[in-house]
Amino acid sequence: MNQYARMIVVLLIFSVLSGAVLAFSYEIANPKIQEHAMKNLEESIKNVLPGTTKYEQVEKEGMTFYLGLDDQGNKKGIAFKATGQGFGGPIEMMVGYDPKEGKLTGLQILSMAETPGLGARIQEPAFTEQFKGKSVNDPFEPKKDVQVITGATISPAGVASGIKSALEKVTKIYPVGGDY
Amino acid sequence: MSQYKFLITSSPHIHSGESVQKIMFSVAGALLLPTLAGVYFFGTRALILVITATLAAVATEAIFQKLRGKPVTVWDGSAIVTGMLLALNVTPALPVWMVVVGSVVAIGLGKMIYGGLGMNPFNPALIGRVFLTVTFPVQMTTWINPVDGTTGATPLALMKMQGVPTDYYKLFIGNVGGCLGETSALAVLVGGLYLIYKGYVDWRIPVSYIGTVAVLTFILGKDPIFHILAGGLLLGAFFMATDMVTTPVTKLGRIIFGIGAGIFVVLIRLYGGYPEGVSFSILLMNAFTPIINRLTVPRIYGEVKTR
Amino acid sequence: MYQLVKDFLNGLWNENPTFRMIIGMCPTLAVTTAAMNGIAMGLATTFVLVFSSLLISLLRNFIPAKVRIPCFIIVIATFVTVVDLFMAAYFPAIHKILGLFVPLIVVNCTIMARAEAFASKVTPPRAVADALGMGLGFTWAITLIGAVRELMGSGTLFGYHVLGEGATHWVIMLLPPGAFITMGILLGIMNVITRKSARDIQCH
Repeated sequence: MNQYARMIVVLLIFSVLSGAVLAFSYEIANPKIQEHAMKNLEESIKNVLPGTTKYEQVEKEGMTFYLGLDDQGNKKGIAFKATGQGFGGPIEMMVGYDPKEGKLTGLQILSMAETPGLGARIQEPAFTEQFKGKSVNDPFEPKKDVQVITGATISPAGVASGIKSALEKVTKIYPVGGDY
Repeated sequence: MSQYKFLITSSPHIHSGESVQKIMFSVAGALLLPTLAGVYFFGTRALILVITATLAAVATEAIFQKLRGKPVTVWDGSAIVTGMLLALNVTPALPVWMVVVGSVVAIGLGKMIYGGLGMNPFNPALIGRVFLTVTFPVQMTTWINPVDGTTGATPLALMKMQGVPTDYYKLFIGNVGGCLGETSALAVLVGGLYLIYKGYVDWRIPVSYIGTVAVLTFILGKDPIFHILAGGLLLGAFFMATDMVTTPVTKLGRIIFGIGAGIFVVLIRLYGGYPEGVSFSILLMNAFTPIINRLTVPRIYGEVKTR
Repeated sequence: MYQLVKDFLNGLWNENPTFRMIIGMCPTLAVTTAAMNGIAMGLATTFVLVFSSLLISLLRNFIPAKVRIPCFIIVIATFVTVVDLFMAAYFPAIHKILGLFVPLIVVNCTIMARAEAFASKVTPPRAVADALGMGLGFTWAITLIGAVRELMGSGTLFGYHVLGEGATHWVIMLLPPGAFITMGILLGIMNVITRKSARDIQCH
């Protein structure tokens, strides 16, 4: 066989076999991966909207909202994703909001790249719990109405400003005191 | 070979009478002023920090040289200066064992690993300080107020976080929170001027460094006097940006070094995450030193431009 | 048999990828913030290394010399992607920590170097013995770095509080500079040990 033809044939065989192996593994692994993603999403929504047992996904004005419901179908609030700029990169978070009361119901950090042991402590309940019951009209300023972490001021500030800027949009779609 | 009576060496042949030892002990002497000011304002804990840091630095250098089978040269005084500078660059509230860690890192990782005095690209005391800042951020930013020892913020942090200015007179005398040796602008200034008078410090670096900070902060609408007096700018400009090993050797190069460091300080103070940027600015410019040296080689007398 | 044992032991110490050949530095420095990450990364790499070495050794006479590099890359990338998918599916927690560095096993020099320098030139049993040795050598090395950094940075070892709750955390050890400092000091210690044992051999 011509050596060039041989090269092409060998590479072709390798690529085809590789593709087959990958397709096969993807088929097995992907349902599991999707399941994990769904479970994480559901857990974070339940976490920020206490009393929620199921949720509905709502798309409004380019934003995705998760409407939290309890067993009787009562509305427990809405959850949405917010992004803040931290020290080590963007901070992704899930925020729970109760439009009737105009208050936040919870906060969970979904992903972040802050300094371990320092900025990364924004994940701890000691920090996130303070947003529970906070009015959406608060200024969200670190060291004033947002408690910071000793030695780390940028990460909490990123969380606070991320929530604040997301709330500006959210409160227009779901005004305080209005129905949802 | 001892039968030869004549030594043949290359130039230079005239000895100026200066030695590493003499210069280093003069610097250490000049540093005594800010040290005393620190001890006056923060009490015995400041004195303990300075002494421990210095002893730890000297011990580290001796141990490293012993381990590597090199002659022990701790009596040249450079380790003493490094230890003192490090202690002057930390908060008086720092636990003593942490300043020991800082000294070991400053001498071990900042100097000896590169081959000892004269080989280190970065200022060892600043390596120690930055290591401590990154390693123990909470303890390194726990500032205390002078005299009563209660915790408080530094003038720069007050300005950055809350926009609160501090009285010029207090800043000048040193009755403010901050690093051990940087609180008193007066003490640092006197020590620095003494070194310039002795010729161990080239005036070009402090002048261009401080000048750049003043001009830039003025242009950007901030208070230049505050930015000169607050924080570690004066200490850095006179004692750390002038380190002979890690700064350019040419006159023009030194001016470039000062301007560059000044720009970095203003950038970090006004737009960065930290309230203070003197250590980082000097370390960053240390990294540029070899390039600056190469770019500013003076023309040899009689040389003709060839192009 | 003796040859196989020798090939296996080679990677554990004499030609340890991390401490002797200083290759595969990217994951070594990036993921070693905890001892567990080191083990996970090491085992994932070992898996890819063993199977790609086996396959490349089996096919060594079939692959034309001129396109051997693309062939190696395809083999390695396939195994890496398989590992990535199955890790995400069955070990999501560790997959989230290792993140981007699992796909980056593809460009770990250790794998490419062993494929090019060893597996493509020897019989399959020797290739596998070598890959196992290299993989485990890499694993213990980065686990050691991870253990030092975790112990100093978080006061824990494999997640257990061994230094007590009140231990001071050396934050720098968890940051990139900590990886370089740890790596440098361990390399120095390794050199001292090797030099000492070499001197002992000369004396006898």
